[in-house]
Amino acid sequence: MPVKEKKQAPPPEIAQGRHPMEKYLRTDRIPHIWCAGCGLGTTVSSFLYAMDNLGLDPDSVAVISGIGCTGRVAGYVRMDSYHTTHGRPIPFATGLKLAKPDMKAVVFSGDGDLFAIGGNHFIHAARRNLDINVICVNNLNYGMTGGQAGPTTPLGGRCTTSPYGNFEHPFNLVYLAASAGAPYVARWTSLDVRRLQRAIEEMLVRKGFAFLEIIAPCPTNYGRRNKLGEGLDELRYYAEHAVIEHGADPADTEILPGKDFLVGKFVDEEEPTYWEMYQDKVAELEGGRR
Amino acid sequence: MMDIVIRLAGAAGQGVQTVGEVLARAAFRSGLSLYAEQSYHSRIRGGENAFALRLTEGTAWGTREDTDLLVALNQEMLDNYLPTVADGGLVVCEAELEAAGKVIRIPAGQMAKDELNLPIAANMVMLGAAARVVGIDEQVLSEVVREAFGDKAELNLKALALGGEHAGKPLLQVPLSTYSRGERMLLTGGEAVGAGAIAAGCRYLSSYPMTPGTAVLTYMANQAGRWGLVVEQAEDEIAAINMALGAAYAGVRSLVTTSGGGFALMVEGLSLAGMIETPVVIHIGQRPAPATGLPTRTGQEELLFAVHAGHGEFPRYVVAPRTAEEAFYLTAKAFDLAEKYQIPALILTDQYLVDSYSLCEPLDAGRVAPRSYLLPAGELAAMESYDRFALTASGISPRAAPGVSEKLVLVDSDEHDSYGRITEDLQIRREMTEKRLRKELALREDVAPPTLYPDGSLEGRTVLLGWGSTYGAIREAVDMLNADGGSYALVHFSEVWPLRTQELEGFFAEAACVVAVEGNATGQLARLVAQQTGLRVQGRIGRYDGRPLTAEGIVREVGR
Repeated sequence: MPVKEKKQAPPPEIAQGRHPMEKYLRTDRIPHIWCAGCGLGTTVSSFLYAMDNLGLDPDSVAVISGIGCTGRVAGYVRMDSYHTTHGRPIPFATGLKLAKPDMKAVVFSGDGDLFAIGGNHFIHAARRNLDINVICVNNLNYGMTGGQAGPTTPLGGRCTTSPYGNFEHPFNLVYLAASAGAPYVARWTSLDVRRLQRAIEEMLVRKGFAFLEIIAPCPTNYGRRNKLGEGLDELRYYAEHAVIEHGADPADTEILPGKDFLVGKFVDEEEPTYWEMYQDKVAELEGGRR
Repeated sequence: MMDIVIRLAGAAGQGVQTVGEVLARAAFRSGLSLYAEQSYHSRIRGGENAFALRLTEGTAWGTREDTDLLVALNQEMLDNYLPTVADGGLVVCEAELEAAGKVIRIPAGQMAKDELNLPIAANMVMLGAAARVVGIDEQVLSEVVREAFGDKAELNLKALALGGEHAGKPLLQVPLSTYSRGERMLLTGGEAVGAGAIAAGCRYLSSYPMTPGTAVLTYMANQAGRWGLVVEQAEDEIAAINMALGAAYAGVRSLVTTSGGGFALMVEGLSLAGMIETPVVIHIGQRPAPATGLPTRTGQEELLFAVHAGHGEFPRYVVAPRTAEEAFYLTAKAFDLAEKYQIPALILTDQYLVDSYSLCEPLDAGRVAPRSYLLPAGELAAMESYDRFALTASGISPRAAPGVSEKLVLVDSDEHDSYGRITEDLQIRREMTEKRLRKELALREDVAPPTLYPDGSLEGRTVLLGWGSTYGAIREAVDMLNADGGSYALVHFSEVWPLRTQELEGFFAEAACVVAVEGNATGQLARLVAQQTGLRVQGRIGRYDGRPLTAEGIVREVGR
């Protein structure tokens, strides 16, 4: 992969090196555990900027994470949060949302947590169409546990559990989510911080189940084992290969090594949500009207 | 003492359950003491479907093996149950069936087709005949049919009358009424668990269907509108318990219902409940296992599983109600203690208890009115800081719901500090482990002792030791054995964990001999008692063929 040198203006100085979105962060937990070059930090920042731009009260938002590197997000945000067992953030968010519908439930987790051990929960949540936002940071492998192959590892990808290259076809998460009935499906890379923020803002204010896939580098494990270079190199690769095509057919969004892939907003539809139908039924039983 | 069993048996799809319920309800309306057991094959058509209604002079404690009136809807069930018909017993069956002995033949299928043009009403013709033979108040029966069938009642009432006419005059006699309307309730164990949950303030259930646990799911789903319940059918049991924990985290009392196999999938979530100290109540309707086992049959095979399930060490509360009435109160107690100690609570019933109808005094929801253990919002707001897992002398930390103040409610499946932050600090780990386990000290004091029947000294007596739904059968067995000159007593547990050991030591010391009577092959309570006290039973009686223990069966085994 060619590495291009590009001159860039240095980022603006921030007073005392503090994060501008500090009000949403548990600063006592910083520094975080993520590796240099990992996409998770920028992803979380985009989420916090989205919260800020919408002026959301942090007490109205709960962040639910599973296990893994992305699973740690819940531990860094200054919001009610829940760090569940492996694979279970969606069921937990479902219960929370059913019991406390006025609270926004944001699931932040990784590809292994959401699509391997938690895959069944994901497709049913998409079909159920409760107002839950699922943000999946896809780094193509299990990072925290040392780089095992996962449900999105590309064919041929080398992982500690696929030392001869991966023989299992990966999920195309966009296609999977759309097929399962998710009314909002988008994908960006962790480089697209502004677009990410906009997508998250859209998700936070819209009704129904919303899914965002964030393609992020894992320089320590997947990147190193597959000779993709440092985190920055992976980001450059994504910058060069990600092609924006809003409304593309989800079936055409496969990610193949060395080839261009599509990012953008692929599905944005209005479907009756679980909560709307539930409220209608309650109103009907009470003899009133919504 | 008057004691008759009417056994309706047919293939699945022939309406045995509907007819049985109508008959049981009519007996109930007539003030008769009753117990009704249901037994069925795991299929939608064909196979065995039986409904045994027992009518007694005194309290009907359970089912009986033999039959005074067999109502057979097909040849297979006639052949199957004919051997159970007692001396002097009667058989009512379809005219074309083959049977020797005293048989009342009713051309029910023909009558339903020819005279009602409604072949499906054949079972109601049979019911009419059976009711006449037994001497059930037919006016009450008609009233029940009218309520059960609504618009379609007229043809069914005609069917009843046709059957009654054909049968002629009563040949048996029902016992005298023992109560008036309003003095008793008729309910199944499954309904009792659901009602107990609602009375205890449960407003959330998520579950995946699994017989016999499904009965509670169905009951709650049907009660949802009336009580404002949220009922979610999850994609699997793993989701079910995690959803319930999500709702419980939000401060809502939550229930899941399943059977042994589904509970196996929930075990990970059970351990999570232990770690995050979030209350959840799990109803396990037991059925014979391993694996799929006998899906629609009964058994008591999950005691040790329920007590030991889950990775790691954390307290829990496990109950095994004796009767439907007790299922109501113990379900409510399970919710109360789950909230009080922030622990998982498990309710062990079985297919026999879940599906059987029994009578009880009107359930008193006031007795189990929910007490809130959540930190009030005002108190939370006034606190300088909030530590969800604060270390306390009792081990119980103040539990707040999220989103009610700017204070954060953090929970973590990893080991955490008092604030709820993930930690690997070994000192905190020790303190948190001890804090969680400390809750069991007070919990032990909240567990009721085992019951003793009859009261009095155990000197020279053989103690039959039991737990859960076998209470009625063992109690009746004790009465039968003692009436026969024996010296027996029953020691019964309906709250099984934490196991109360102080009384046991006295019982074992006093009794001549202790025999465990359980619906399993290995004596799970006996093993639990040995593990906790070092005391060993002298004998074991186990039933593990999927059918409930009966008084006659226990007496037979004792005689061996």
